[in-house]
Amino acid sequence: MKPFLKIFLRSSAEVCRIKNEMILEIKDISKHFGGLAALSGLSFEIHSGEILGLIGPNGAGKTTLFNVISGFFPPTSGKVMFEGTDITGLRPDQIAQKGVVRTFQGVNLFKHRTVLENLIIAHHLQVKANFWELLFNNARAKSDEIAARKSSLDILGYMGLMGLKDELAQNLAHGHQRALGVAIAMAARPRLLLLDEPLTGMNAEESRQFLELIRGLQGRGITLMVVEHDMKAIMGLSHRIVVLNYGRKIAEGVPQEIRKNQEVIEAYLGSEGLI
Amino acid sequence: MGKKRLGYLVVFVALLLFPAVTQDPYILNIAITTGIWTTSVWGVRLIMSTGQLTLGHAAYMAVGAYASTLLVMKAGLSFWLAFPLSGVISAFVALLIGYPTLRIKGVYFSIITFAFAEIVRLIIVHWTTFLGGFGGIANIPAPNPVFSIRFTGRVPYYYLILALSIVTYWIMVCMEKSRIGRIFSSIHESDTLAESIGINIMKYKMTAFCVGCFFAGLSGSFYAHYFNFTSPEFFTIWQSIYCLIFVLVGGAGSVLGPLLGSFFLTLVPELLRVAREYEPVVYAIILILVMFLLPGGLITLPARLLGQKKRN
Repeated sequence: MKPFLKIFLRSSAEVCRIKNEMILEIKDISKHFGGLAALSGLSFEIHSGEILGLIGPNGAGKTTLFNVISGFFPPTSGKVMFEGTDITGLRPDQIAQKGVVRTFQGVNLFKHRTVLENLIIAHHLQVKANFWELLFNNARAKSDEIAARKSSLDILGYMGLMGLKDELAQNLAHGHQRALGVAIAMAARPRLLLLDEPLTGMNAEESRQFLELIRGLQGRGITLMVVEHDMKAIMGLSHRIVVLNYGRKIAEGVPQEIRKNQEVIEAYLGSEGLI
Repeated sequence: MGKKRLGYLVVFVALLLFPAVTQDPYILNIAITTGIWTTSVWGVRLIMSTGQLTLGHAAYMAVGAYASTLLVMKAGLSFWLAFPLSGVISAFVALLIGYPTLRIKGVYFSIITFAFAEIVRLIIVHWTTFLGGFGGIANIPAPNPVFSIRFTGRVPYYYLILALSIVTYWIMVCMEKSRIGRIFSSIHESDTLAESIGINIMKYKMTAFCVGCFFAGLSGSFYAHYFNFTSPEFFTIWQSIYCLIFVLVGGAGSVLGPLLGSFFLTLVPELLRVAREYEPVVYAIILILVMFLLPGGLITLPARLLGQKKRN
Protein backbone atom coordinates (compact mmCIF):
# COMPACT_ATOMS: atom_id res chain seq x y z
CA MET A 1 0.00 0.00 0.00
CA LYS A 2 1.26 3.45 -0.85
CA PRO A 3 2.10 5.63 2.15
CA PHE A 4 -0.25 8.31 0.90
CA LEU A 5 -3.19 5.92 0.98
CA LYS A 6 -2.23 4.72 4.46
CA ILE A 7 -2.37 8.24 5.79
CA PHE A 8 -5.75 8.69 4.23
CA LEU A 9 -7.14 5.45 5.67
CA ARG A 10 -5.92 6.27 9.14
CA SER A 11 -7.49 9.71 9.06
CA SER A 12 -10.79 8.52 7.64
CA ALA A 13 -10.95 5.73 10.18
CA GLU A 14 -10.93 8.33 12.91
CA VAL A 15 -14.33 9.83 13.31
CA CYS A 16 -13.81 13.21 11.79
CA ARG A 17 -15.13 15.80 14.12
CA ILE A 18 -17.87 17.99 12.80
CA LYS A 19 -17.36 21.38 14.34
CA ASN A 20 -20.25 23.49 15.34
CA GLU A 21 -18.95 26.46 13.41
CA MET A 22 -20.50 27.34 10.08
CA ILE A 23 -18.42 27.20 6.93
CA LEU A 24 -21.16 28.40 4.55
CA GLU A 25 -24.30 30.37 5.20
CA ILE A 26 -27.07 30.72 2.65
CA LYS A 27 -29.04 33.79 3.67
CA ASP A 28 -32.45 34.35 2.13
CA ILE A 29 -31.32 33.52 -1.40
CA SER A 30 -33.71 34.07 -4.29
CA LYS A 31 -33.03 33.54 -7.94
CA HIS A 32 -35.50 34.49 -10.64
CA PHE A 33 -35.22 33.70 -14.32
CA GLY A 34 -37.66 36.15 -15.83
CA GLY A 35 -40.98 35.28 -14.18
CA LEU A 36 -39.76 31.93 -12.90
CA ALA A 37 -38.59 31.74 -9.30
CA ALA A 38 -35.97 28.98 -9.33
CA LEU A 39 -35.07 29.70 -5.70
CA SER A 40 -37.09 31.73 -3.25
CA GLY A 41 -36.07 32.83 0.20
CA LEU A 42 -33.71 29.93 0.77
CA SER A 43 -31.67 29.88 3.99
CA PHE A 44 -29.55 27.19 5.61
CA GLU A 45 -26.04 26.56 6.86
CA ILE A 46 -23.30 24.05 6.29
CA HIS A 47 -21.21 23.12 9.30
CA SER A 48 -17.49 22.80 9.02
CA GLY A 49 -16.47 19.20 8.36
CA GLU A 50 -19.86 17.68 7.57
CA ILE A 51 -21.38 16.05 4.51
CA LEU A 52 -24.61 17.84 3.68
CA GLY A 53 -27.00 16.13 1.27
CA LEU A 54 -29.17 18.29 -0.95
CA ILE A 55 -32.18 16.52 -2.42
CA GLY A 56 -35.44 17.38 -4.09
CA PRO A 57 -37.50 16.45 -7.15
CA ASN A 58 -36.34 17.45 -10.62
CA GLY A 59 -36.48 21.20 -11.11
CA ALA A 60 -36.41 21.88 -7.36
CA GLY A 61 -33.47 24.29 -7.80
CA LYS A 62 -30.55 22.17 -6.59
CA THR A 63 -28.25 22.90 -9.51
CA THR A 64 -29.35 26.54 -9.55
CA LEU A 65 -28.28 26.76 -5.92
CA PHE A 66 -24.89 25.27 -6.84
CA ASN A 67 -24.53 27.84 -9.59
CA VAL A 68 -25.41 30.65 -7.20
CA ILE A 69 -22.96 29.50 -4.50
CA SER A 70 -20.11 28.96 -6.97
CA GLY A 71 -20.70 32.32 -8.66
CA PHE A 72 -21.91 31.13 -12.06
CA PHE A 73 -25.25 32.94 -11.56
CA PRO A 74 -25.53 35.93 -9.26
CA PRO A 75 -28.57 35.59 -6.99
CA THR A 76 -31.50 37.97 -7.49
CA SER A 77 -31.40 38.70 -3.75
CA GLY A 78 -29.84 37.31 -0.62
CA LYS A 79 -26.33 36.57 0.52
CA VAL A 80 -23.83 33.74 0.50
CA MET A 81 -21.30 33.88 3.34
CA PHE A 82 -18.22 31.66 3.29
CA GLU A 83 -16.16 31.47 6.47
CA GLY A 84 -17.73 34.71 7.60
CA THR A 85 -17.03 36.73 4.45
CA ASP A 86 -19.58 37.71 1.87
CA ILE A 87 -18.91 35.95 -1.44
CA THR A 88 -22.14 37.00 -3.16
CA GLY A 89 -21.52 38.38 -6.62
CA LEU A 90 -17.90 37.27 -6.86
CA ARG A 91 -16.77 35.56 -10.06
CA PRO A 92 -16.46 31.74 -10.09
CA ASP A 93 -12.65 31.94 -10.16
CA GLN A 94 -12.62 34.28 -7.15
CA ILE A 95 -14.92 31.94 -5.23
CA ALA A 96 -12.69 28.99 -6.13
CA GLN A 97 -9.75 30.97 -4.81
CA LYS A 98 -11.58 31.48 -1.50
CA GLY A 99 -11.90 27.69 -1.19
CA VAL A 100 -15.33 26.79 -2.62
CA VAL A 101 -15.05 24.46 -5.63
CA ARG A 102 -17.84 22.69 -7.47
CA THR A 103 -18.13 19.80 -9.88
CA PHE A 104 -20.57 19.64 -12.75
CA GLN A 105 -23.62 17.53 -13.37
CA GLY A 106 -22.58 16.23 -16.76
CA VAL A 107 -19.10 15.20 -17.77
CA ASN A 108 -17.09 18.43 -17.90
CA LEU A 109 -13.41 17.77 -18.58
CA PHE A 110 -10.59 19.04 -20.78
CA LYS A 111 -11.45 16.19 -23.12
CA HIS A 112 -8.56 16.41 -25.55
CA ARG A 113 -5.92 16.35 -22.85
CA THR A 114 -4.57 13.44 -20.87
CA VAL A 115 -5.75 12.70 -17.37
CA LEU A 116 -2.47 13.96 -15.91
CA GLU A 117 -2.58 17.18 -17.98
CA ASN A 118 -6.13 17.79 -16.75
CA LEU A 119 -4.89 17.59 -13.19
CA ILE A 120 -1.81 19.75 -13.79
CA ILE A 121 -3.93 22.54 -15.28
CA ALA A 122 -6.32 22.22 -12.37
CA HIS A 123 -3.48 23.24 -10.03
CA HIS A 124 -3.84 26.78 -11.37
CA LEU A 125 -4.44 28.28 -7.93
CA GLN A 126 -1.25 26.72 -6.58
CA VAL A 127 0.91 28.41 -9.22
CA LYS A 128 3.07 31.11 -7.67
CA ALA A 129 4.90 32.30 -10.80
CA ASN A 130 3.50 35.39 -12.50
CA PHE A 131 2.71 35.81 -16.19
CA TRP A 132 6.25 36.74 -17.28
CA GLU A 133 7.86 34.04 -15.18
CA LEU A 134 5.54 31.51 -16.79
CA LEU A 135 6.18 32.88 -20.28
CA PHE A 136 9.93 32.57 -19.98
CA ASN A 137 9.73 29.40 -17.86
CA ASN A 138 12.09 30.60 -15.11
CA ALA A 139 13.06 28.65 -12.00
CA ARG A 140 9.88 29.53 -10.13
CA ALA A 141 7.68 28.42 -13.04
CA LYS A 142 9.63 25.17 -13.24
CA SER A 143 9.30 24.45 -9.53
CA ASP A 144 5.56 25.21 -9.73
CA GLU A 145 5.29 22.69 -12.53
CA ILE A 146 7.14 20.02 -10.56
CA ALA A 147 4.97 20.64 -7.49
CA ALA A 148 1.77 20.53 -9.58
CA ARG A 149 2.88 17.28 -11.16
CA LYS A 150 3.67 15.67 -7.84
CA SER A 151 0.40 16.74 -6.28
CA SER A 152 -1.47 15.59 -9.42
CA LEU A 153 0.00 12.12 -9.13
CA ASP A 154 -0.98 12.02 -5.45
CA ILE A 155 -4.58 12.90 -6.26
CA LEU A 156 -4.71 10.43 -9.17
CA GLY A 157 -3.40 7.70 -6.89
CA TYR A 158 -6.05 8.53 -4.35
CA MET A 159 -8.84 8.56 -6.94
CA GLY A 160 -7.69 5.26 -8.43
CA LEU A 161 -6.80 6.84 -11.77
CA MET A 162 -3.04 6.32 -11.67
CA GLY A 163 -3.07 3.62 -14.33
CA LEU A 164 -4.96 5.91 -16.70
CA LYS A 165 -2.81 9.02 -16.30
CA ASP A 166 -1.67 9.09 -19.94
CA GLU A 167 -5.11 8.36 -21.44
CA LEU A 168 -7.03 11.16 -23.12
CA ALA A 169 -9.88 12.23 -20.86
CA GLN A 170 -12.41 11.63 -23.63
CA ASN A 171 -11.43 7.96 -23.90
CA LEU A 172 -12.13 7.11 -20.25
CA ALA A 173 -15.07 5.01 -19.12
CA HIS A 174 -17.92 7.03 -17.67
CA GLY A 175 -17.16 6.12 -14.06
CA HIS A 176 -13.54 7.18 -14.49
CA GLN A 177 -14.60 10.44 -16.10
CA ARG A 178 -16.73 11.22 -13.05
CA ALA A 179 -13.79 10.38 -10.80
CA LEU A 180 -11.56 12.66 -12.87
CA GLY A 181 -14.12 15.46 -12.46
CA VAL A 182 -13.78 15.18 -8.68
CA ALA A 183 -9.98 14.86 -8.95
CA ILE A 184 -9.86 18.14 -10.90
CA ALA A 185 -11.89 19.87 -8.21
CA MET A 186 -9.58 18.41 -5.54
CA ALA A 187 -6.57 19.93 -7.26
CA ALA A 188 -7.96 23.39 -6.51
CA ARG A 189 -7.64 22.48 -2.78
CA PRO A 190 -11.20 23.24 -1.73
CA ARG A 191 -12.30 23.62 1.86
CA LEU A 192 -15.89 23.27 0.71
CA LEU A 193 -16.54 20.93 -2.21
CA LEU A 194 -19.88 20.93 -4.01
CA LEU A 195 -20.60 17.65 -5.82
CA ASP A 196 -23.42 17.74 -8.36
CA GLU A 197 -24.87 14.23 -8.84
CA PRO A 198 -21.55 12.40 -8.56
CA LEU A 199 -23.08 8.92 -8.90
CA THR A 200 -25.04 9.45 -12.13
CA GLY A 201 -24.42 6.69 -14.64
CA MET A 202 -22.42 4.49 -12.26
CA ASN A 203 -23.20 0.87 -11.54
CA ALA A 204 -23.69 -0.40 -8.01
CA GLU A 205 -20.05 -1.37 -7.46
CA GLU A 206 -18.71 1.91 -8.87
CA SER A 207 -21.17 3.83 -6.69
CA ARG A 208 -20.05 1.96 -3.59
CA GLN A 209 -16.39 2.71 -4.27
CA PHE A 210 -17.15 6.29 -5.06
CA LEU A 211 -19.07 6.80 -1.84
CA GLU A 212 -16.01 5.51 0.01
CA LEU A 213 -13.89 8.08 -1.79
CA ILE A 214 -16.31 10.86 -0.85
CA ARG A 215 -16.23 9.78 2.80
CA GLY A 216 -12.46 9.78 2.52
CA LEU A 217 -12.52 13.39 1.36
CA GLN A 218 -14.53 14.31 4.42
CA GLY A 219 -11.96 12.43 6.46
CA ARG A 220 -9.29 14.69 5.03
CA GLY A 221 -11.12 17.69 6.40
CA ILE A 222 -13.04 18.82 3.33
CA THR A 223 -16.62 19.89 3.94
CA LEU A 224 -18.98 18.52 1.31
CA MET A 225 -22.35 19.40 -0.12
CA VAL A 226 -23.72 16.65 -2.34
CA VAL A 227 -26.66 16.70 -4.72
CA GLU A 228 -27.71 13.15 -5.54
CA HIS A 229 -30.78 11.36 -6.85
CA ASP A 230 -29.84 7.98 -5.43
CA MET A 231 -31.81 8.20 -2.16
CA LYS A 232 -30.25 5.19 -0.52
CA ALA A 233 -26.78 6.50 -1.22
CA ILE A 234 -27.44 10.03 -0.03
CA MET A 235 -29.21 8.86 3.13
CA GLY A 236 -26.24 6.66 3.96
CA LEU A 237 -23.66 9.29 3.13
CA SER A 238 -24.96 12.53 4.60
CA HIS A 239 -24.79 13.77 8.15
CA ARG A 240 -27.63 16.15 7.47
CA ILE A 241 -29.99 16.64 4.56
CA VAL A 242 -31.71 19.70 3.12
CA VAL A 243 -34.77 19.07 0.94
CA LEU A 244 -35.82 21.54 -1.75
CA ASN A 245 -39.07 21.68 -3.66
CA TYR A 246 -40.04 24.43 -6.10
CA GLY A 247 -37.09 26.52 -4.96
CA ARG A 248 -38.04 26.42 -1.26
CA LYS A 249 -36.60 24.48 1.63
CA ILE A 250 -39.25 22.05 2.80
CA ALA A 251 -37.19 20.10 5.31
CA GLU A 252 -33.80 19.99 7.00
CA GLY A 253 -32.41 17.44 9.40
CA VAL A 254 -30.62 14.15 9.92
CA PRO A 255 -31.53 11.35 7.46
CA GLN A 256 -33.84 9.55 9.93
CA GLU A 257 -35.96 12.68 10.34
CA ILE A 258 -36.10 13.32 6.60
CA ARG A 259 -37.30 9.78 5.91
CA LYS A 260 -40.32 10.30 8.16
CA ASN A 261 -41.11 13.87 7.10
CA GLN A 262 -44.61 13.98 5.64
CA GLU A 263 -43.92 16.95 3.37
CA VAL A 264 -40.86 15.26 1.89
CA ILE A 265 -42.82 12.09 1.21
CA GLU A 266 -45.49 14.15 -0.52
CA ALA A 267 -42.94 15.96 -2.64
CA TYR A 268 -41.71 12.60 -3.84
CA LEU A 269 -45.29 11.30 -4.24
CA GLY A 270 -45.27 8.05 -6.11
CA SER A 271 -41.69 7.40 -5.20
CA GLU A 272 -42.05 6.95 -1.42
CA GLY A 273 -40.40 3.60 -1.74
CA LEU A 274 -37.22 5.40 -2.70
CA ILE A 275 -37.05 7.15 0.64
CA MET B 1 16.57 18.29 -28.45
CA GLY B 2 19.99 18.81 -30.00
CA LYS B 3 18.60 17.91 -33.40
CA LYS B 4 15.80 20.42 -33.00
CA ARG B 5 18.26 23.18 -32.08
CA LEU B 6 20.41 22.31 -35.06
CA GLY B 7 17.32 22.46 -37.29
CA TYR B 8 16.48 25.92 -35.97
CA LEU B 9 20.06 27.05 -36.54
CA VAL B 10 20.14 25.79 -40.13
CA VAL B 11 16.86 27.53 -40.97
CA PHE B 12 18.03 30.72 -39.26
CA VAL B 13 21.33 30.82 -41.16
CA ALA B 14 19.52 30.03 -44.42
CA LEU B 15 17.09 32.92 -43.87
CA LEU B 16 19.95 35.21 -42.87
CA LEU B 17 21.95 34.40 -45.99
CA PHE B 18 18.96 34.41 -48.31
CA PRO B 19 19.57 37.94 -49.72
CA ALA B 20 23.16 36.91 -50.47
CA VAL B 21 21.78 34.26 -52.83
CA THR B 22 19.25 36.42 -54.57
CA GLN B 23 18.36 40.09 -54.44
CA ASP B 24 15.62 39.74 -57.01
CA PRO B 25 13.05 42.30 -55.80
CA TYR B 26 10.22 40.04 -56.89
CA ILE B 27 11.37 37.12 -54.73
CA LEU B 28 12.25 39.38 -51.80
CA ASN B 29 8.79 40.90 -52.06
CA ILE B 30 7.21 37.47 -51.66
CA ALA B 31 9.38 36.80 -48.59
CA ILE B 32 8.52 40.19 -47.05
CA THR B 33 4.80 39.80 -47.76
CA THR B 34 4.90 36.36 -46.11
CA GLY B 35 6.52 37.97 -43.07
CA ILE B 36 3.89 40.72 -42.86
CA TRP B 37 1.08 38.21 -43.06
CA THR B 38 2.50 35.63 -40.72
CA THR B 39 3.13 38.16 -37.92
CA SER B 40 -0.53 39.09 -38.06
CA VAL B 41 -1.79 35.55 -38.58
CA TRP B 42 0.10 34.29 -35.51
CA GLY B 43 -2.04 36.74 -33.55
CA VAL B 44 -5.21 35.25 -35.03
CA ARG B 45 -4.07 31.77 -34.05
CA LEU B 46 -3.35 32.95 -30.51
CA ILE B 47 -6.84 34.46 -30.20
CA MET B 48 -8.35 31.30 -31.70
CA SER B 49 -6.53 29.19 -29.11
CA THR B 50 -8.80 30.67 -26.42
CA GLY B 51 -11.85 29.69 -28.47
CA GLN B 52 -12.63 33.13 -29.87
CA LEU B 53 -12.91 33.39 -33.64
CA THR B 54 -12.04 36.90 -34.76
CA LEU B 55 -13.33 38.14 -38.09
CA GLY B 56 -11.86 41.62 -37.78
CA HIS B 57 -8.13 41.23 -37.49
CA ALA B 58 -7.47 43.56 -40.42
CA ALA B 59 -8.92 46.40 -38.32
CA TYR B 60 -6.00 46.09 -35.90
CA MET B 61 -3.54 46.04 -38.78
CA ALA B 62 -5.25 49.21 -40.00
CA VAL B 63 -4.99 50.80 -36.56
CA GLY B 64 -1.27 49.98 -36.51
CA ALA B 65 -0.70 51.24 -40.04
CA TYR B 66 -2.51 54.55 -39.56
CA ALA B 67 -1.17 55.11 -36.05
CA SER B 68 2.37 54.67 -37.28
CA THR B 69 1.78 56.80 -40.38
CA LEU B 70 0.28 59.67 -38.40
CA LEU B 71 2.90 59.48 -35.66
CA VAL B 72 5.66 59.76 -38.25
CA MET B 73 4.06 62.21 -40.70
CA LYS B 74 2.05 64.48 -38.37
CA ALA B 75 3.80 64.14 -35.02
CA GLY B 76 7.26 63.88 -36.53
CA LEU B 77 8.26 60.82 -34.52
CA SER B 78 11.02 58.49 -35.66
CA PHE B 79 9.81 55.25 -37.24
CA TRP B 80 11.71 53.33 -34.57
CA LEU B 81 9.49 54.89 -31.91
CA ALA B 82 6.27 54.88 -33.94
CA PHE B 83 6.71 51.21 -34.85
CA PRO B 84 6.47 49.76 -31.29
CA LEU B 85 3.92 52.45 -30.37
CA SER B 86 1.63 51.34 -33.18
CA GLY B 87 1.60 47.85 -31.65
CA VAL B 88 0.80 49.31 -28.24
CA ILE B 89 -2.00 51.46 -29.69
CA SER B 90 -3.49 48.42 -31.45
CA ALA B 91 -3.33 46.44 -28.21
CA PHE B 92 -4.99 49.33 -26.38
CA VAL B 93 -7.82 49.48 -28.92
CA ALA B 94 -8.15 45.69 -28.51
CA LEU B 95 -8.44 46.22 -24.75
CA LEU B 96 -11.30 48.69 -25.21
CA ILE B 97 -13.11 46.48 -27.72
CA GLY B 98 -12.33 43.23 -25.91
CA TYR B 99 -13.64 44.33 -22.53
CA PRO B 100 -17.31 44.22 -23.50
CA THR B 101 -17.09 41.72 -26.37
CA LEU B 102 -14.88 38.90 -25.04
CA ARG B 103 -17.65 37.89 -22.66
CA ILE B 104 -19.64 36.94 -25.73
CA LYS B 105 -18.95 33.52 -27.13
CA GLY B 106 -19.15 31.80 -30.47
CA VAL B 107 -20.56 33.34 -33.59
CA TYR B 108 -21.77 36.49 -31.80
CA PHE B 109 -18.21 37.47 -30.97
CA SER B 110 -17.21 36.89 -34.59
CA ILE B 111 -20.03 39.11 -35.83
CA ILE B 112 -19.09 41.91 -33.44
CA THR B 113 -15.42 41.80 -34.47
CA PHE B 114 -16.56 41.86 -38.10
CA ALA B 115 -18.77 44.88 -37.44
CA PHE B 116 -15.94 46.67 -35.63
CA ALA B 117 -13.61 46.05 -38.57
CA GLU B 118 -16.14 47.63 -40.92
CA ILE B 119 -16.54 50.61 -38.58
CA VAL B 120 -12.78 51.16 -38.60
CA ARG B 121 -12.67 50.93 -42.38
CA LEU B 122 -15.59 53.35 -42.80
CA ILE B 123 -14.02 55.85 -40.42
CA ILE B 124 -10.86 55.79 -42.54
CA VAL B 125 -12.87 56.15 -45.76
CA HIS B 126 -14.92 59.08 -44.52
CA TRP B 127 -12.37 61.03 -42.48
CA THR B 128 -10.71 62.41 -45.58
CA THR B 129 -8.95 65.38 -43.99
CA PHE B 130 -7.13 63.45 -41.28
CA LEU B 131 -6.90 59.87 -42.52
CA GLY B 132 -6.77 60.47 -46.26
CA GLY B 133 -10.13 58.90 -47.07
CA PHE B 134 -10.51 56.34 -49.80
CA GLY B 135 -7.46 57.58 -51.63
CA GLY B 136 -5.25 56.71 -48.67
CA ILE B 137 -2.04 58.39 -47.54
CA ALA B 138 0.88 58.36 -49.92
CA ASN B 139 4.59 59.16 -49.50
CA ILE B 140 4.91 57.57 -46.09
CA PRO B 141 8.60 57.94 -45.30
CA ALA B 142 10.83 54.88 -45.11
CA PRO B 143 12.29 54.05 -41.69
CA ASN B 144 15.15 56.37 -40.68
CA PRO B 145 18.60 54.92 -41.27
CA VAL B 146 20.05 52.96 -38.35
CA PHE B 147 23.68 51.93 -37.97
CA SER B 148 24.16 53.63 -41.36
CA ILE B 149 21.76 51.14 -42.96
CA ARG B 150 19.47 53.03 -45.29
CA PHE B 151 16.06 51.64 -46.16
CA THR B 152 16.34 52.09 -49.90
CA GLY B 153 16.26 48.62 -51.44
CA ARG B 154 14.24 45.67 -50.24
CA VAL B 155 17.02 43.94 -48.34
CA PRO B 156 16.83 46.09 -45.15
CA TYR B 157 13.06 45.55 -45.06
CA TYR B 158 13.68 41.84 -45.44
CA TYR B 159 15.91 41.83 -42.36
CA LEU B 160 13.51 43.98 -40.35
CA ILE B 161 10.51 41.73 -41.02
CA LEU B 162 12.72 38.69 -40.45
CA ALA B 163 13.63 40.02 -37.02
CA LEU B 164 9.99 40.81 -36.24
CA SER B 165 8.85 37.37 -37.38
CA ILE B 166 11.51 35.61 -35.31
CA VAL B 167 10.59 37.56 -32.18
CA THR B 168 6.88 36.89 -32.75
CA TYR B 169 7.55 33.21 -33.39
CA TRP B 170 9.65 32.94 -30.26
CA ILE B 171 6.98 34.56 -28.09
CA MET B 172 4.29 32.34 -29.61
CA VAL B 173 6.37 29.22 -28.91
CA CYS B 174 7.04 30.37 -25.33
CA MET B 175 3.31 30.85 -24.79
CA GLU B 176 2.48 27.52 -26.36
CA LYS B 177 4.99 25.59 -24.29
CA SER B 178 4.26 27.30 -20.99
CA ARG B 179 1.29 26.95 -18.68
CA ILE B 180 -0.17 30.06 -20.34
CA GLY B 181 -0.78 28.17 -23.58
CA ARG B 182 -2.42 25.33 -21.70
CA ILE B 183 -4.66 27.80 -19.86
CA PHE B 184 -5.72 29.29 -23.22
CA SER B 185 -6.62 25.89 -24.62
CA SER B 186 -8.37 24.85 -21.41
CA ILE B 187 -10.61 27.92 -21.76
CA HIS B 188 -11.26 26.82 -25.34
CA GLU B 189 -12.16 23.28 -24.28
CA SER B 190 -14.38 24.15 -21.31
CA ASP B 191 -14.64 27.68 -20.01
CA THR B 192 -16.97 26.63 -17.17
CA LEU B 193 -14.50 24.04 -15.88
CA ALA B 194 -11.63 26.51 -16.25
CA GLU B 195 -13.53 29.07 -14.15
CA SER B 196 -14.44 26.49 -11.54
CA ILE B 197 -10.77 25.72 -10.84
CA GLY B 198 -9.93 29.37 -10.36
CA ILE B 199 -8.88 30.58 -13.80
CA ASN B 200 -9.91 34.17 -14.47
CA ILE B 201 -11.04 33.49 -18.02
CA MET B 202 -11.65 37.14 -18.94
CA LYS B 203 -8.08 38.02 -17.99
CA TYR B 204 -6.59 35.29 -20.15
CA LYS B 205 -8.91 35.85 -23.11
CA MET B 206 -8.03 39.53 -22.90
CA THR B 207 -4.32 38.74 -22.78
CA ALA B 208 -4.53 36.57 -25.89
CA PHE B 209 -6.63 39.18 -27.70
CA CYS B 210 -4.35 42.09 -26.84
CA VAL B 211 -1.13 40.23 -27.64
CA GLY B 212 -2.63 39.05 -30.95
CA CYS B 213 -3.68 42.59 -31.84
CA PHE B 214 -0.31 44.00 -30.72
CA PHE B 215 1.40 41.96 -33.42
CA ALA B 216 -1.30 42.90 -35.94
CA GLY B 217 -0.47 46.54 -35.18
CA LEU B 218 3.26 45.98 -35.72
CA SER B 219 2.52 44.15 -38.93
CA GLY B 220 0.29 47.01 -40.13
CA SER B 221 2.91 49.61 -39.29
CA PHE B 222 5.57 47.73 -41.24
CA TYR B 223 3.14 47.33 -44.14
CA ALA B 224 2.55 51.09 -44.38
CA HIS B 225 6.24 51.98 -44.28
CA TYR B 226 7.22 49.21 -46.66
CA PHE B 227 4.76 50.20 -49.37
CA ASN B 228 5.09 53.92 -48.48
CA PHE B 229 1.35 53.98 -48.86
CA THR B 230 -1.69 53.04 -46.84
CA SER B 231 -5.31 52.92 -47.87
CA PRO B 232 -8.55 51.45 -46.52
CA GLU B 233 -8.45 49.13 -49.51
CA PHE B 234 -5.71 47.11 -47.77
CA PHE B 235 -7.81 46.49 -44.69
CA THR B 236 -11.13 45.14 -45.90
CA ILE B 237 -13.06 42.17 -44.61
CA TRP B 238 -11.13 40.05 -47.09
CA GLN B 239 -7.88 40.64 -45.22
CA SER B 240 -9.54 39.51 -41.98
CA ILE B 241 -10.89 36.41 -43.65
CA TYR B 242 -7.54 35.69 -45.29
CA CYS B 243 -5.96 35.70 -41.83
CA LEU B 244 -8.32 32.90 -40.82
CA ILE B 245 -7.79 31.00 -44.06
CA PHE B 246 -4.01 31.21 -43.57
CA VAL B 247 -4.33 29.70 -40.09
CA LEU B 248 -6.57 26.89 -41.28
CA VAL B 249 -4.63 26.08 -44.44
CA GLY B 250 -1.31 26.12 -42.58
CA GLY B 251 -2.69 24.28 -39.59
CA ALA B 252 -3.92 25.65 -36.28
CA GLY B 253 -2.31 22.83 -34.32
CA SER B 254 1.23 24.18 -34.59
CA VAL B 255 2.94 27.56 -34.30
CA LEU B 256 4.54 26.85 -37.68
CA GLY B 257 1.09 26.48 -39.26
CA PRO B 258 0.40 30.20 -39.78
CA LEU B 259 3.89 30.67 -41.26
CA LEU B 260 3.36 27.82 -43.70
CA GLY B 261 -0.13 29.05 -44.55
CA SER B 262 1.06 32.62 -45.13
CA PHE B 263 3.95 31.47 -47.30
CA PHE B 264 1.91 29.00 -49.35
CA LEU B 265 -0.98 31.36 -49.93
CA THR B 266 1.28 34.30 -50.80
CA LEU B 267 3.11 32.13 -53.27
CA VAL B 268 0.21 30.41 -55.02
CA PRO B 269 -1.53 33.48 -56.49
CA GLU B 270 1.90 34.72 -57.61
CA LEU B 271 2.69 31.44 -59.33
CA LEU B 272 -0.73 31.23 -60.93
CA ARG B 273 -0.43 34.89 -61.91
CA VAL B 274 -4.11 35.41 -61.18
CA ALA B 275 -5.67 38.82 -61.16
CA ARG B 276 -6.32 40.33 -57.70
CA GLU B 277 -10.06 39.99 -58.21
CA TYR B 278 -9.79 36.23 -58.45
CA GLU B 279 -7.60 35.79 -55.38
CA PRO B 280 -10.55 34.98 -53.07
CA VAL B 281 -11.61 32.23 -55.48
CA VAL B 282 -8.16 30.65 -55.42
CA TYR B 283 -8.02 30.86 -51.63
CA ALA B 284 -11.49 29.37 -51.30
CA ILE B 285 -10.61 26.41 -53.51
CA ILE B 286 -7.39 25.79 -51.59
CA LEU B 287 -9.21 26.06 -48.27
CA ILE B 288 -11.86 23.55 -49.34
CA LEU B 289 -9.24 21.12 -50.67
CA VAL B 290 -7.16 21.36 -47.50
CA MET B 291 -10.18 20.95 -45.23
CA PHE B 292 -11.18 17.79 -47.09
CA LEU B 293 -7.79 16.21 -47.64
CA LEU B 294 -5.74 17.51 -44.69
CA PRO B 295 -8.07 18.71 -41.92
CA GLY B 296 -5.05 19.47 -39.72
CA GLY B 297 -3.60 21.86 -42.31
CA LEU B 298 -0.46 21.69 -44.45
CA ILE B 299 1.67 21.27 -41.33
CA THR B 300 0.35 17.72 -40.97
CA LEU B 301 1.37 16.80 -44.54
CA PRO B 302 4.81 15.32 -43.69
CA ALA B 303 3.35 13.17 -40.89
CA ARG B 304 0.58 12.08 -43.24
CA LEU B 305 3.02 11.11 -45.97
CA LEU B 306 5.26 9.24 -43.54
CA GLY B 307 2.27 7.48 -42.02
CA GLN B 308 1.13 6.32 -45.44
CA LYS B 309 4.61 5.05 -46.25
CA LYS B 310 4.63 3.03 -43.06
CA ARG B 311 1.25 1.53 -43.86
CA ASN B 312 2.45 0.50 -47.31
